[in-house]
Amino acid sequence: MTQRMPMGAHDISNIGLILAAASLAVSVVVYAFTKVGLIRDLFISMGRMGIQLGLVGLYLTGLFRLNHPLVNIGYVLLMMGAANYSVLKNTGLKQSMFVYTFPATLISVGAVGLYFMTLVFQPQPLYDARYLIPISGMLLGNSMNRTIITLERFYSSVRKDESGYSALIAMGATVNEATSSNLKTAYRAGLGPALANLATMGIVSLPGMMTGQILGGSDPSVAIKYQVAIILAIYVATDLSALLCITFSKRKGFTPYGFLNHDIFKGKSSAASGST
Amino acid sequence: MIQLDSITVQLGTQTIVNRFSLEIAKGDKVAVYGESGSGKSTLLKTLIGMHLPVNGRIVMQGLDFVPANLPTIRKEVFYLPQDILAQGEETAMDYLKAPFALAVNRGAMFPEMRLGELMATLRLKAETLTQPLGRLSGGERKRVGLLRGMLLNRAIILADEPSAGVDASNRDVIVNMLFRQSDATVVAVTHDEEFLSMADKKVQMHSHGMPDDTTDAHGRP
Repeated sequence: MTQRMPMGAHDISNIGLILAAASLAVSVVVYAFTKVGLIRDLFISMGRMGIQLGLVGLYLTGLFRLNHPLVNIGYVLLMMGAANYSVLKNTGLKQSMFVYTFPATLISVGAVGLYFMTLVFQPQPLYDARYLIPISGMLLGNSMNRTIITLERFYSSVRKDESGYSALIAMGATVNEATSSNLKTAYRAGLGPALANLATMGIVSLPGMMTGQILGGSDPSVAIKYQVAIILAIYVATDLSALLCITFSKRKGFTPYGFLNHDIFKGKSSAASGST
Repeated sequence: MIQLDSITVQLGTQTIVNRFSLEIAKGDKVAVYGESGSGKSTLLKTLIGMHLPVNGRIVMQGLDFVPANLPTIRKEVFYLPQDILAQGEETAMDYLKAPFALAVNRGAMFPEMRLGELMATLRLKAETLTQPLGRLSGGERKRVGLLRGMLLNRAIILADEPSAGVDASNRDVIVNMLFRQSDATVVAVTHDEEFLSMADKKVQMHSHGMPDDTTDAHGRP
């Protein structure tokens, strides 16, 4: 079903890379002119990005050459772990919530990934690193961003009107009933950027994967089919991941008496919450 | 109706309520008062399960206050928080009706018939209902909060400063409404003179884990 790439993209020479880096001079001038004082941060961030991607290039080369099913799956699990670490870091929840968010990611990205790998992309072999790793990476990266917004908004909105929430719980509402409006708020907040991105897809920007495939020598029609399939996979996986993360995290996020468990939040103990 | 048996409540490492016992009979109106930080709200929040005693026992309506009994116990409880915040564009009417959508109130109809009468008693104007909660004054929000409880008609009312920050005339309206429910057991954290003078039981809380006093209507321990 796939057309093998007739050739790779034209290589970038070392001088070309140096010239690419030299383009940062524009940013440096802008920062100096506006006195935003971010020049140091710019170099640190860009340097780190260069090193990270350089390393990725090295071990992806090795990974693709080895192409061992267990190693490939192990690498995907590692990416999942890193994504969950990042989710919790950015939602203000304690890292101990990992035991609830990791299974949520594993199930959502695992199930959607498996469905698309076996039925849509059908690489030979199925665990081919060239497919498995970048596709899982895209599903994970997008799920991560969506989950950060959704999970953060869910708990922060319950916290914002904790007295109203508690009043409902005290009169016999279940946690699901009392958080139904929070779930709606959180889900909408997470879905907004995803829908906005879909609306301009292909008009404002060509998706990165498609650009890469076209540069790599693929027929644009093949590249577009891949892009459509991956967008669908991302959409379903992120939806599922956001919902499961909230559902699973509720087990720890609320006490057996139904109230918000402040111990899940970073940097604030339960003692500090509420008035006496 | 409510029985607290030597409960100790801690927030973090700090003891807020220390070996506190209290027996509340059906229909009792109980005032919990004391200086700020003395654990009044903590006591009330312990009665809804928001804080849990590290020691002692709570019995409500003859049932141990443990998660397994909550569905039964909470059917008869109304908790009025100190602050009633607005959620988006939610109107006062949405706020009043929300509890009737809960599974626990399945079969209970929203009592349209009593609404007008209760609103008149609470001195709330009809147009208040169509206003977003956020646009009401603090005093109106307090009365709408209490109205919610009156419509639910629960046997136990737990109120956190029900009349605080309300002007004098409306304070009396709120207090009278709470006392009018002769069958309802009311526990209120309050400094309201009138509430205190009419209360069946007065509970004074002390800070720093000192023993707490309970007196009946005649000032006897």
